[in-house]
Amino acid sequence: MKYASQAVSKLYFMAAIGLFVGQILFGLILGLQYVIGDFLFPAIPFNVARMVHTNLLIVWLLFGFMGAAYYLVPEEAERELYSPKLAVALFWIFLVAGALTILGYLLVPYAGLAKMTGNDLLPTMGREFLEQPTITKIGIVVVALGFLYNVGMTILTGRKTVITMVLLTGLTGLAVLFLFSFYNPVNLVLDKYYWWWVVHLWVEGVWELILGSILAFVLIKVTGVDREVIEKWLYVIIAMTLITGIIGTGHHYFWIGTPGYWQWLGSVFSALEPIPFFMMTVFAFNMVNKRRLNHPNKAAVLWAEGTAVMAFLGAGVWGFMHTLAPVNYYTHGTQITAAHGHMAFYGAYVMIVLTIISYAWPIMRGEKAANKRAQVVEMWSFWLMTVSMVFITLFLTGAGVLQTWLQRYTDTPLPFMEVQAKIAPFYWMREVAGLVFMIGLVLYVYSFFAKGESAGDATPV
Amino acid sequence: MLVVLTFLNVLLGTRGYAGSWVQLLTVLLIWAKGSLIIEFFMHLHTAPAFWRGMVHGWLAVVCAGIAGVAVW
Amino acid sequence: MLSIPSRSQPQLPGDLAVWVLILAELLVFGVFFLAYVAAFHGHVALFRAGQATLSIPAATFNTLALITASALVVQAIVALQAGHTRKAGWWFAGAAVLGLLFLLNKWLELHHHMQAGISLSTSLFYMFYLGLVFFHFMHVLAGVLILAWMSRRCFQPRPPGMNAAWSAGAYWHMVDLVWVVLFPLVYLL
Ligand code: HEM
Ligand code: HEM
Ligand SMILES: [Fe+2]
Repeated sequence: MKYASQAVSKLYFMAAIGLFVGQILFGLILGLQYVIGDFLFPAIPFNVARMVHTNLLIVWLLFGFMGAAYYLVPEEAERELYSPKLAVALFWIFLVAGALTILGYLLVPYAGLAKMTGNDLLPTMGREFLEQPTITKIGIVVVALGFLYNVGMTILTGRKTVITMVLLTGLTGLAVLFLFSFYNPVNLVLDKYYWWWVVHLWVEGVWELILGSILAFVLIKVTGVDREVIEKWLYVIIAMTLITGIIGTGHHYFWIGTPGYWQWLGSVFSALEPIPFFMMTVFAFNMVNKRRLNHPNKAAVLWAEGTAVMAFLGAGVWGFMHTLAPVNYYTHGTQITAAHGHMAFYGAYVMIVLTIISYAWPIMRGEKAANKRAQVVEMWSFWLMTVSMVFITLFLTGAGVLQTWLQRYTDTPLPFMEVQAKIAPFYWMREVAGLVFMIGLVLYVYSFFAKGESAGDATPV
Repeated sequence: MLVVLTFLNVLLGTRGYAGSWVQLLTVLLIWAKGSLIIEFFMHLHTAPAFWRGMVHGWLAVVCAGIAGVAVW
Repeated sequence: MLSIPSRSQPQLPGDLAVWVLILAELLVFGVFFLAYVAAFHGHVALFRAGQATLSIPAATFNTLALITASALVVQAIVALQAGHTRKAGWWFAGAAVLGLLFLLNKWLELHHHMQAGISLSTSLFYMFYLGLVFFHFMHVLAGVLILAWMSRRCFQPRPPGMNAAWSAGAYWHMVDLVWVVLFPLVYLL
C-alpha cells in the first residue's frame, strides 16, 4: 500500500462482504418461498424478503464501489486521501442508516414504515429498488455528496489520470441520477419513465464507467501493461457505453405508455449495448496476454477475467436475448428477465467488486498477494459461485422460456398460477444452485483467514 | 488524383438526385462513393486485409439491404 | 499528385483503438440503416410522403461540404507528413469550418421542421429521419471538435504525431462515409 489513507477501504470492503452474505441468505429464503409459498410466513413475507435481497445487493455494491474508490484514488492521484476522517464518518453513517432501514423492512409492515418515516411529506417509497424511506434516501444523498467531495478533492488536487476521471464521472453520474428517485409523479407512465433513469442509466450507463475504470486499474497493476494502452481502450469502451446505453433506455419504454417510436429506438440502440461489454472481454484478455509481469495474485487475475466474461454473458448475451421489441413483447417481466438480472448483476458488478477486493486486500495486509492456500480456496470460491450462477441463470431461463410458451406465445394460454406449478421443478433446481452459491460464498469468506505458504513476488514474463 | 475523385464523387451525388427514380442505380452510386471514401480518404488500400474487409463488408451489407428493399 | 506516399507494409492508418471505435460506430449506424429499410418496406407510401417534405438542395450542399472537408483532411495529412505543420493546421481548420457549415445548415433544416410542429412521434418516417439525422449530427459535432483540436495543435510548438492525425482523419472520414449512405437513403431513395 502506497498511502496510509487507502486503508479506509478495508472498512468498506468488510461491510460489503457482510451484507453480501445477508443478501444471499435472503435470496435462498426467496427461492424457497417460490416453491413453498408460506415458508416463514407471516414473519417474513415474500415482498419483504425480496426488498431486503435487492436492497442489500445495491447497498453492498455501493459500499464496494466506495471502497474501490478510496483504495485506487489515492494511488492514482499520488497523494493521501483528502480526508480519511470524513471517509470513516460517512462509512458509519451509511452503515447505520442501511441497517436501520433493513430492520425497518423486517420489523415494521411496509405501510407502517412509510407512515413512521413521514412518506406523506415527500412520497418516494414503494417502487422496486427504490423502496427506501425518504429519510434513508436523503441520507444516501448526503453520504454520496460527502464521498464525492472527498474523492473529488483528492483527484483534483493530485495527479489526474484517465482512470480517476472516468471513475469520478461515473460516481457523479450515479449520485445525480439517484436524485430522480425523489421525483415520484402521480402519472404512472411518467413515474416509470423516470424510474428507469435511475435503474437503467445506472447499470447500463454510469456504473459501466465505474466498472471500466476499476477493471482498468486492476489490469494495469496485475499485467504491467503500459498505462497509455489501457487508457485508450477505456476511452473507446466508455464512448460505446454512452452511445448505445443512453438511447438504449428505450428498451424499457416499449409497453409502459410511452410513444411508439421507442420500440424502434430502444430495439436498435439497446441491441448494440453488448458491444462495450464485448470490448471489455477482448480488452481484459488482450492485456493479460500482453502482460509484462506475472503477478503473484493469481486470484485477482482470475476475477478480472471472470468479470469481463460474465458481464458479457449476463448483460450482453442474456440482455440481447430479450431486448428487441417483438421478442420482449412475449418475455417482458417473465423469469427470463430474472435470469438476465441475476447473471448481469453478478457478472458485472458483484464480480468487479470482488476483483478489486481480491487485489487490494492482501496489499492492505502488507503482502503482495494472499498466501498460496488462501488463493486456492479463493479460486475454488470463484468457480463455485460463478458456475452456480450460470446454473441459476440457465434454470431461470428454462423456466422463463416455458412460461412464455405456455402463458403467452400460444393460442390457448394457461393461467399464470397453473404455469407456475408446471415450472416449479426449475425453481427447485434454482434453489439447489443457490445453495451451492452460498457454499462458494462461505469459502470466499474463509479464504481471508486461510493460512499457508507465501505466494512470493512478481516475476517478469 | 483525390481532387478528381472528389469531383467525381460530387457529380455522382447530384446524379443520384437527378435520377432518383432508378433506385438500384442510386444504390450503386452509394456503393461507388462509399468505396472511394474507404479506399482513398480512409486510406485503407494499404491497410491489413481484415480492416479493409470489415469496412467494405459493412458498406456491402448496407447497400445490399437497401437494394433488397428496392427490388422487393 | 495528391495521393499519399504509401508505405511498404500493410499498416492501419491510425490507432487500433480508434479503428475499433469506428467499426463499432459503423455497426450502430448500419443497424439503424437496416431498421430504416425494414420500416420503409412496411410503409412505402408514408415514407415517400415524408421524403417529399425534405430539402434536397440543402442536403446536397451538406454532402459537398462533408466530402470537401474529407479532402481537406487528406491534404492536412499530406502536409503534416511533409513536415509543413502550419499548412496542415490551415487544412484542418478549413475542414472544421466546412463541418461547421454542415452543422449550421442542418440545424436550420431541423429548426424548420420543428417550427412546422414535427417531432419524433409525428410519424414513423419522422422518427427515423430525426433520429438518424440527429445521431449523425452529434457525430459531425464530435468530428468538428476533433478537427479543430488537431488544427490548434498544428500551430503549437509540439505538433501532433502522424498517429493522431491519421486517427482523427479516419474518424472524420467515417462520419463522411455514413452521410454518403444516409443522404441518398433518407432523402433520395
Ligand atoms: C450490467 C449490466 C446490466 C444489469 C445489471 C442489468 C440488470 C437488469 C435487471 C435487474 C432488470 C430487471 C429490471 C426490473 O426489475 O424490471 C433488467 C431488465 C432488462 N434488461 Fe438488463 N441489465 C444489464 C444490461 C443489459 C443489457 C446490455 C441489455 C441489452 C442488450 C439489457 C436488456 C434488458 C431488458 C430488455 C430488460 C427488460 C426485461 C423485461 O422487459 O422484463 N440489460 N436488467
Ligand atoms: C450475487 C448473487 C445474486 C444477485 C446479484 C441477485 C440479484 C437479484 C436481482 C437483481 C433481483 C431482482 C430481479 C428482477 O427484478 O428481475 C433478484 C431477485 C430474486 N433473487 Fe437474487 N440475486 C443473487 C442471488 C440469489 C440467490 C442465490 C437466490 C436463490 C437461490 C436468489 C433468488 C432470488 C429471487 C427468488 C428473486 C425474486 C424474483 C422475483 O421477484 O420473481 N438470488 N436477485
Ligand atoms: Fe436496461
